[in-house]
Amino acid sequence: MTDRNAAPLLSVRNLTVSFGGPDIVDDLSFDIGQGEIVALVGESGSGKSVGSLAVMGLLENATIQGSACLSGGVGSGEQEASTELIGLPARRLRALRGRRISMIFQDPLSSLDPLQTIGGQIREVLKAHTRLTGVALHSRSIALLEQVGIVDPEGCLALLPQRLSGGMRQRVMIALAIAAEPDLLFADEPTTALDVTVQAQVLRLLKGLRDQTGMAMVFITHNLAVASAIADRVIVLYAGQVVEDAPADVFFRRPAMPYSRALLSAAPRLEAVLAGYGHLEAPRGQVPSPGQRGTACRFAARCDDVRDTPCLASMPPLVSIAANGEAHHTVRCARWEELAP
Amino acid sequence: MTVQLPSVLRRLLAHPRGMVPTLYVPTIIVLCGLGPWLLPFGELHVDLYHRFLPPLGNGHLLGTDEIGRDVLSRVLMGGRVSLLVGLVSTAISTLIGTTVGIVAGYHAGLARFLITTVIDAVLCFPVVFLLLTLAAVLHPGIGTIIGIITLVSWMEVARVAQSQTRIVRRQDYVTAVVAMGAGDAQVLFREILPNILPAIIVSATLNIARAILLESYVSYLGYGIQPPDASWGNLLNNAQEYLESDPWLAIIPGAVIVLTVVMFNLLGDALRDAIDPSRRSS
Amino acid sequence: MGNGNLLYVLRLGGVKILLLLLVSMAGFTLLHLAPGDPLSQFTLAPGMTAERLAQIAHGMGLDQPLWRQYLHWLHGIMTGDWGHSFRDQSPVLGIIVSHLTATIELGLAALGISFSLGLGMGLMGALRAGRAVDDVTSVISIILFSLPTFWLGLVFIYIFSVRLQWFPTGNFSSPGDRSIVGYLRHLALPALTLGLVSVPVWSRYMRTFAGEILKQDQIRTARALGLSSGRIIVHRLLRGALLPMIPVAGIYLPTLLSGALVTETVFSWPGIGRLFLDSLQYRDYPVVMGVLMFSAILVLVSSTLAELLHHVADPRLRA
Repeated sequence: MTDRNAAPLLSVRNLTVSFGGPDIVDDLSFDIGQGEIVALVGESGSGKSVGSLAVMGLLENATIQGSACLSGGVGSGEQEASTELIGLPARRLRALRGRRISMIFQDPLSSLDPLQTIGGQIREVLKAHTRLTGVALHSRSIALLEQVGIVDPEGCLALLPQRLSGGMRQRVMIALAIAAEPDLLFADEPTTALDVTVQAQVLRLLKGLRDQTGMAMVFITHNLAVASAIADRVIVLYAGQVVEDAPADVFFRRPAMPYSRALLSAAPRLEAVLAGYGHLEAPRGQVPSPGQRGTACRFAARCDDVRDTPCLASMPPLVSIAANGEAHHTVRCARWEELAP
Repeated sequence: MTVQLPSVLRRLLAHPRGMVPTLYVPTIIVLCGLGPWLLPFGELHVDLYHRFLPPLGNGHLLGTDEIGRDVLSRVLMGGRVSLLVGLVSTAISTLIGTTVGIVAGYHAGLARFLITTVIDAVLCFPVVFLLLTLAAVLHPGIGTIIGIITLVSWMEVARVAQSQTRIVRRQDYVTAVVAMGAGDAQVLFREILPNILPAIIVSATLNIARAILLESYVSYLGYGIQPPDASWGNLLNNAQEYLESDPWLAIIPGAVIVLTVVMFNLLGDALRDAIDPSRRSS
Repeated sequence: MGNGNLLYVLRLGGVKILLLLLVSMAGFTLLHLAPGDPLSQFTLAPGMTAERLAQIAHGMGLDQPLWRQYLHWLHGIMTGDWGHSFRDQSPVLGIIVSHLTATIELGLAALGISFSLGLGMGLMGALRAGRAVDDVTSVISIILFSLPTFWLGLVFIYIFSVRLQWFPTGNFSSPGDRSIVGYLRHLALPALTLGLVSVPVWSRYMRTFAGEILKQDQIRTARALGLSSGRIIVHRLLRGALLPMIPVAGIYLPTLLSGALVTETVFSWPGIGRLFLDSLQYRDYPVVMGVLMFSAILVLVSSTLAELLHHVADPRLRA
């Protein structure tokens, strides 16, 4: 699926976000490969949503530093140069949104325009990014709804969002997001508000869409079971930083960071989640708030394996622990070698 | 929602938009209340040698009017009447409105149906026309003014009380109290009333502003408080005649009305935010 | 407001008609019990005798019981015979209609001013929620809401007519001046007065409705999908916030009429507000009742129309 040697589709480096106070997201760096599904996992307050919104350019009143480089795509036929998203003028950013990078959110009902039919909303997006008109516009709308698995696309076009079920709404939302065939989709907790059975359907749909179109995806979730169902790679965020970044199979087999292990042991398995025991139970204690993060390891206060040195001495760096020939794997723990099983 | 008085007061005073009216309202009430004992000139003291004095003229802080009466005294005495009308009519309409609103909100049924539709319908009428007709026909006086202002302003309070009662009535703890066999009276006075009181107080505060304004309209047009008694509205009664030569006669009493009405409105808004801080952020 | 049920709108319309009847009965009774006999205008006429007076009273139907007079009057209202003015015997409906143009002109000008200012202020406050602009617009809105219309009129006359001499102090037009510029100069101050005091009706609702939409995810989603901010503001924000404003127009008319009454008095503007006050002064009760009924019917019809229009315009209610 992922070719590590090719240039990543999105390369985030040293991303720092604040709203006039302490940094919410702190020196965040990660890559998203072409066609890769990456789960961005963390408790609330870890900065996973804020970081994604910053990359999308959807934050207001925020101070954003660092870099988020989107590599050139072959969007509308011609090769484009790679683009730095942070600090990009609003007009150019808007031209990229929807067409190269897109995003869906947790609550599809409040995300859709209550006054416009589904058809109207799809046409609105298509008109913003393509030159389609008339019959072509209509057949493309139908095709999109079919693509997201809506049974009666013709009938659906004429409906207002309130008339659809939650799962249907999220499918419509996905259709809108992929209408202009973006290379990268941010999905911010897209299944959290849905019924358990519908959750699984939407996850399957998203994964199928990736297989079909090669669109990469950043899947933001606080739910490891959901992550395990869809991700190629897992990035764990803690208190605004990346603490572990590993291929999904490696991550779920032998996580290296004590926090990841704590999450995994607390996490219900997928079946349990789907049976309704929804949310992951966090390890004891709470994520330190942005103002109280200190200079030591940020997980120290909640870690069972904490030692004065090295854990409290200084902030551990993010180090690569991939063995020879293994895929990319980094962790932010000073004692990872001692603790390795 | 339980409301702690000290914390409400603290939030009220934390922001200038709450602090200024919280200080102003008692001040103007006390000033107007003590008016006659504060002033060197009686409000009816006519001094034909010192007519149309500009503000600060000859010891008259705000000047004198067309027959040499001290404008400051007139404003304070007018304030007594205007504030009295505002406060008393609000007290009565709050009592009526709250009662009607609770009755309509507590039980679904014919009473609610009738009351809510009638209130919605009445609120659609141009009340000033009605008010003036009543004022013109009835014997003028403070009591009449209070009566007719009450008549046209209880609906707003009733609407608030009604919707609040419905909200509180649906709360789980009230359902629980009812399930445990509490009587209607107990539920009404122990559960409903304390919980809707904050909203009622806010509504009443805004209603005072409206009542003062209404009194000024009726008196300005000559159907309210009759001279020589002063009210803030009738001080402006013939001010238009002297607008060219002596504009302060119109500007000063009007400015006092505006200031006071603004303060009551600000106080109402600030109280609403202080009682329910979550509103502020929206 | 906001009760989306079509049945409710119709029911409310029915109750309003009942209420209209009730108000008319109360008003009719009140005015007949009021001091100031309509015959008093004739008693002082030279050569007036008791028989002649009785004849006049009979001619005016004043010797019949009150309920018959009321039914007679009500029948007249429905058939277009609204009675005759005590002052000059001309038909009431004719008098009202002849004063209506001035009020409509004033009302439309004021509506334009208050709607555009109110919309702008509400939108600005919502878009800059919680910041200085929001505070400033809401305080301006409270101040305008607290202004006695007549006093604002007086202040404007003092500033713009007396001191600056830009505009005339009142009246519909100057004698001999029939030009459009002259008319607009007369209209300016009353329209500004009436317009400004009714700004808060629009600005407060606009602030609330636009604020609610901005809180929804749909704005952020529309941006994430790459729609232009112009399109988002016009198509999502304005459209979404203006729809619930339609029934607000029903609340606006009574405010406008009440304000017009005072504004017309201050500026000697010959509309139905001033007609009402003049008639009240002269105890010309047929005209008083006429204006009362006319304005109530106007408000009733327009508020019901506004609610029905809301049902047609809002796809959520249509479905």
